[in-house]
Amino acid sequence: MSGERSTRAIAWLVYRKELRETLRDRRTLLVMVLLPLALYPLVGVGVSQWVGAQQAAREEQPSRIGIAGRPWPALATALAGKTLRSSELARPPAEREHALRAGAVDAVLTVPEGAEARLAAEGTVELALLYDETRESSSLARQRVLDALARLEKQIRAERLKARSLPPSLIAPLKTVERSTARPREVGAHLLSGVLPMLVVLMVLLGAFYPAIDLTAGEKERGTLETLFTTPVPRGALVAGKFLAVATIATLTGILNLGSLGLTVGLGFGAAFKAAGITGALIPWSALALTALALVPSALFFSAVMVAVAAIARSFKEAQNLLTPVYLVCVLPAMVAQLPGFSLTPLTALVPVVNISLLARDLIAGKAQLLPATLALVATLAYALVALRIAGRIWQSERMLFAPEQRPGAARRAPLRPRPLPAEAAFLLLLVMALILLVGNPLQARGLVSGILVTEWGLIALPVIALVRFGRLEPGAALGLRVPSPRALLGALLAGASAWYLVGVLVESVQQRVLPIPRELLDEIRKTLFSVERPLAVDLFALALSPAICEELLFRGVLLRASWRPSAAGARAASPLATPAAVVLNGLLFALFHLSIYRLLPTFLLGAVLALTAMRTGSILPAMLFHLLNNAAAILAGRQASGVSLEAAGLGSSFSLPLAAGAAALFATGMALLWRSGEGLRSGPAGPRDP
Amino acid sequence: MGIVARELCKRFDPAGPPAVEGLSLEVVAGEIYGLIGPNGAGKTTTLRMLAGLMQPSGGEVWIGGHPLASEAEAARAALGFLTGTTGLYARLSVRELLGYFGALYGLAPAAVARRIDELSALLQFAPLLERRCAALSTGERQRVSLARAVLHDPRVLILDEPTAGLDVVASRFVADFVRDARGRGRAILFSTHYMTEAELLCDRIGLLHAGCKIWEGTPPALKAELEASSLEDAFLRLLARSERQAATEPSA
Ligand SMILES: Nc1ncnc2c1ncn2[C@@H]1O[C@H](COP(=O)(O)OP(=O)(O)O)[C@@H](O)[C@H]1O
Ligand SMILES: [Mg+2]
Repeated sequence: MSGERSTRAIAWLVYRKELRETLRDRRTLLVMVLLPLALYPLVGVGVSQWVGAQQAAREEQPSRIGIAGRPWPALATALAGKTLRSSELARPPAEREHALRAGAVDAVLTVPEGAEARLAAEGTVELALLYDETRESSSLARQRVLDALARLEKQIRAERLKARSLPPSLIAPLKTVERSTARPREVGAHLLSGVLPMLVVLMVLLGAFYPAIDLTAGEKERGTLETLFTTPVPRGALVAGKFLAVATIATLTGILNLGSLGLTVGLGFGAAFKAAGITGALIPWSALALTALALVPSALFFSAVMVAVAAIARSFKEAQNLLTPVYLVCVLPAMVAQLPGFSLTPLTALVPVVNISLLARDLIAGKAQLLPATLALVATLAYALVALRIAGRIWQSERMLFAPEQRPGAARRAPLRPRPLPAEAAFLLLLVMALILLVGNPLQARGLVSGILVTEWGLIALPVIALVRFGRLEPGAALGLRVPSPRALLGALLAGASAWYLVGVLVESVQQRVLPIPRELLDEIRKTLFSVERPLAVDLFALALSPAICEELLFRGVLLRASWRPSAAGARAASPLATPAAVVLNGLLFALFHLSIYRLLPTFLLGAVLALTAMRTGSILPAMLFHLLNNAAAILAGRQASGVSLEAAGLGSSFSLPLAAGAAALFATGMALLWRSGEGLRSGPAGPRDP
Repeated sequence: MGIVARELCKRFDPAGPPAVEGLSLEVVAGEIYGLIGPNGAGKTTTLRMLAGLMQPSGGEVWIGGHPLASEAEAARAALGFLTGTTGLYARLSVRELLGYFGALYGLAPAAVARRIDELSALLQFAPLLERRCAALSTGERQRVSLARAVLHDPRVLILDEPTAGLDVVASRFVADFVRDARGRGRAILFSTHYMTEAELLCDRIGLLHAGCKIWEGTPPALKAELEASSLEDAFLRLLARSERQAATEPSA
């Protein structure tokens, strides 16, 4: 009676049933229909009011201008008004900048001695304006002062011409009348392309989220999946039907969101646009329609991933726990793609999620190009197919249907795992890097030390600790948190204190020839990193101790343990790499992590040596000590202004042969001690046994 | 042609004891076989292996003459299986649910409609057909689940603790239904830990303890062999005996 039915017919049957059942689910409907219909108009109204209020508040706030020197009456008049409040700044020149940095004033204008006399003699008065570009109030003050000075200059010019009975046109040979040709449609497109791609990714994901869980883990929890599996149909057909149902819901959610967002921007934002001086922004409907089409492959991709992952879970709740990181992993690239500087190229078209966000942005802005766009769509479909294959595999396995039971009461919790999985480590690294890009770097731009502290402890150490805690890893083994031998500590002490100088010399002699570090970068590093203004203790804590602890936890902890297979652990160990490969990989990752081609060589060397240290001593603590001393030495040297950078980027020429020879001897002794201090985890002399 | 199982084994944990070991049984057409054992004895595991939901670590299964390993779909088509949880799709009506499973079993829509009429009359849930499954009581749910399991009129019926948690009236429904199926020549295997029920209903019983079948035969034969007044009594004596044996020969 069965037998001859095609898999496709069964998948279609399952699809229709799942769709019908899902559309009867209130939670799905809420996410799919109600949320977009209500959310955007509400947010739209809220945002436009908030923006308006902010704008008004800022415009009313007068800028505080500190004036150094004596202003002549006309200048004093020009600098007094509704938006400018000037006061005399009777401080020595060195402290003026300080007043600005401390926020006592928004800008400092220095008036030279004898300005009025020079003006009277028809000369030029040079005014110096000090401002802080990174502070919005200071930038605004600068603009206001410049405007006021321009008006004053125009007035003086007119007076001078008049005194000689010359026409004003004499010094105004050209007059330009400008008008922007951007049509309202394009303005609307530009505004939409800013928010929309990320929102669409977010919403498609959200649309897939609950159905993916409900149709897999939910069915398992309710006990219907077991019944379903007793029917004489291929499992592939069941997976396909369910997957298509989830993808349909996700697509519908995305399209409804697009439509609602477009309408909100078109209608609801009208008032806000007028306030901002944009009149009649139109919605690029045809572009939105194209985007809706491009959304289908991404819905397929997300649904396949979510159906695969949710199938592993035993219950609805467990599936939620599993899918939340998946959700974040998908949202982060979409956020990164929003950063200026990213564009859809044949290369970025291959990066999952990023490609879809960029494509959506280009489509809405009307700038999509055929090749990368096609590539992005094809790549996404291919990834969807791969994810679907994996989902199919998972569904074939018995463990998926009958995961080991958890007995109530009896604490039969799985033992802590000795090492992280390579996939976990990779995910962690990507997460940390995304966090640094999105959160850490902006924070460091605002305040270097506080930014670095937040980055190290909050964005690097915290995720590592979270993985160990919630991934049920055993901290001792998974991070190498073990008491090292005295010999190991002594070795780390010697090698760590001397490494920075050797790396510096090496970089000096090799890198400056191959890839010279630009002067500005050196100055920048010197100015920010080796500022003598900060207390030494602060620098040592923020730039030496914190990175030594946090970065080691990530790199020589999780990443190393996940990627390295000590041969002592035998062939059963799941980690793929033998010692040399793991050392190189660790160095490379450490170098890439620092996101600077100029620091590639020194960070690679340092990372590799630290990896060796952690391996040979079986503990992460010597690596931390090594890292701490290396950074501390560089900071101390940097403060001496002799100019050897953090991780010894070779700033300046402090090379001296005796010094280098001494450092080399110390380093060699330290490394020899480290090499022979191995306990437990080190690689045996026979090397790895299996390929 | 009913159920044949040879030397079934299931090991979840390679280091621990097996959940089921060396279990063989045969249920012929027109027979009710009861698999009896305390919680954790391995009943569900055995039935899942017979239904092709779990891969046995060793042994073979035939359902309705089809080897499960090589002709899985034919074997499943010949089998009606009622799981211990009997979950139903809460947001489908009873008719929609039965229609869905009928289609999954490859029945034509007209045939499904006919079967729904027959079964809803037999199991007395005709007034509930348009109701959502979420709104059914435990007993009603069990009747609908039974109907779902036999929608395609299978020759073999496997039921995992079909009366667990039911009141007397609902249990009676199940018992009558099982007897009716035997009358129509079906092979029926069900598990239970209610001895009285097994005594009343089963033609033969197999006693399961720690994954091993420790006795098989008719209920009267078991009582006679152990000189027990009830099946429950007999079962407890049997357990004590097999535990003594295990203690005297620890190598086994
Ligand atoms: N999926 C599973 N993973 C691990 N162990 C299981 C699994 N299913 C059942 N078991 C174990 O197998 C044994 C038999 O369980 P089960 O067949 O459910 O017993 P019964 O149905 O007779 O109460 C129990 O010890 C149980 O913990
Ligand atoms: Mg059971």
